[in-house]
Amino acid sequence: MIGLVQNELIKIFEKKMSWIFAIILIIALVGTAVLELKTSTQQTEDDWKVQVQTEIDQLEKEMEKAPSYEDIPEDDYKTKAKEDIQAEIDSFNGNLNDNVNPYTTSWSYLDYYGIALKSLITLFVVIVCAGNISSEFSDGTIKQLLIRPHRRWAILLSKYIALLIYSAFLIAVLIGIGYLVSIAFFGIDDFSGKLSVQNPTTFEMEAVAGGAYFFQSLLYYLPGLIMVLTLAFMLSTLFKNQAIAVGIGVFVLFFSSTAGALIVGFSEKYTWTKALIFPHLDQTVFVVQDKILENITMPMSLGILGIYYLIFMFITFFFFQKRDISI
Amino acid sequence: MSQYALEVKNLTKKIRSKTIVDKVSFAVEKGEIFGLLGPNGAGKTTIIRMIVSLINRTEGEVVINGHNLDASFAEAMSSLGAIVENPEFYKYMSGYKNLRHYARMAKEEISESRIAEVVKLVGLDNAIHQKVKTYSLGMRQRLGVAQALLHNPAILILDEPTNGLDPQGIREFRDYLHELAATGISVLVSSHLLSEMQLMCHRFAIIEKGKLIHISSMDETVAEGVDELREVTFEIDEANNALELLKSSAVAFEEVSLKKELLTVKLSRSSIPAVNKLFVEKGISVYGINAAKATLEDRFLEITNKKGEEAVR
Repeated sequence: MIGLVQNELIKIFEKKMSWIFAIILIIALVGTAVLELKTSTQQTEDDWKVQVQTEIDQLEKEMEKAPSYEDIPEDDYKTKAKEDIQAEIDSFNGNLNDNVNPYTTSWSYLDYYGIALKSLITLFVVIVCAGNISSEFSDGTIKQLLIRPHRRWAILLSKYIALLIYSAFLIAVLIGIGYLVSIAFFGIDDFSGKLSVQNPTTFEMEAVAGGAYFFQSLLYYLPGLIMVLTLAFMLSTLFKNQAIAVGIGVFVLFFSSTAGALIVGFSEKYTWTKALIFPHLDQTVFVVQDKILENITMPMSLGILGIYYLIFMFITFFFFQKRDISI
Repeated sequence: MSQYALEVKNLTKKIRSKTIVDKVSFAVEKGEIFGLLGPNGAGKTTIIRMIVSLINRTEGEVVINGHNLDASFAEAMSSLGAIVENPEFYKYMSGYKNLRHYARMAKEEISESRIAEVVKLVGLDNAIHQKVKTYSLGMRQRLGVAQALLHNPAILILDEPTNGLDPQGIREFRDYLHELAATGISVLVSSHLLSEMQLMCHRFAIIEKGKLIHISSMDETVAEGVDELREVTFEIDEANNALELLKSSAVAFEEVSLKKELLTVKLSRSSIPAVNKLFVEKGISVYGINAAKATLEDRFLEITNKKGEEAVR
């Protein structure tokens, strides 16, 4: 089995595409870091609290001169109103109270931008997975692969494991290169340094520990990634045509977030829609909230995913075992 | 150990109600090149794919080198090497990496020296580290043979191996198969090219509409029909006289053509010496006798036609 997995890994990494995806991920990491550096105010003092306090003092001075909303002409968009400045001051005071550094730190960069790049990983994994078996069919290499002294399920399983390892590789690039980029651009930061994130249901800002939030988000991202991977893998075994498998895989990927959002709307009226796969694919919402769709907790949601997982795996292995290779 | 490299018993494939292969049985002896012959769509490829387990069998048994494919799958599959139609490789990898890939899938470890040996055997030493996409069809065919031989199989199974090869390549391939057979490896080869099979195989089976309708050795088949009339050309002087002479004798024959010094008639094989004797006794000089050998093609058409007529009746 180790030899089979080794073979599949070699085949994945001998393709230039697999490396290009990793490089795109690195470019995206550096790109977002550069944008963040250019577009937002950066910490210049050694202690961010000193800098926040200076900002507050300055804002208070500004506020004395600033007019209130009613006094600003309608076509004037440049002048800051008293109320706006007050809101900024409140926000800074909140930062001081909650001990949240408002400037970009290495962890806040990873939490806001690094995590967002996980959708790139999903996309790349879908493309690689959907092409994995279907390309063996369209290239005809499947014939030479299946006339070996190994059962078909073993060969299929080795491919699946190799694809999981490739996904782990992309995640490792995101974490490893992401961390290096983050400290190169924004300096080393305390792992437990706080930052504020928005709760998607209440829309309130909550203070969380930056490092822990990053890893928790990644961990909660894994079930969805594995599901999408398994689905793409299934498509890859069902369709001999690589283009169809990749096309449908990517379509499902993009459709799932739309469908998930729609189902949140439907679920009040039609309870059964809660059992559809789409709202459960994104487990990261559980990082900041306990329930989705009113009453679905994380263990329930994972249970639903588990059932889909078994169905996908069964279909994949059953059809592959039964299939007559007559290309 | 079994005396056969491959035994196929009652092999049947049905897709829904349609029978594609119908109770085909045959055996390939050790060191023998065995051909599966038949028109396109007769079911040759399906038979071969059932043997190499690319297609599921509806019924029947396959025993490879004494190992039953159902009972001891790994041992049975280890005893065969195959090229199914055009050998396809991972084009983005070098020939060597492709071979390493297949070597890793073997039951018993395959050493570096074995790979080098096989590469040398098929004459790819110079190109083995180039990517397969740079290979010509002939080179791919040779790499195909290399991957099939890596694990020292008892039988080599080839499905339409000469498809797409030029005459030079076909000839090399054929010589190569004979060399292999001489070392004790059996070969099962399918083709619709009759003349090719005649040169390549020791024995063959004819498959038509999914059924095995004839099985025999090449020599038997060609030698069969000794008493049937076949064309015989006599190179003689006074061909006209000779013809008259023949007409007045008791020999059964049919006239085909008469040229100045060439008389072509249809004769049974057994009456050739009598005719020769007759000519010589009457003072006609015989410079040569050329009996047209029945080709496999003739036999093939004969056999398939006969069966066809039987079916009509």
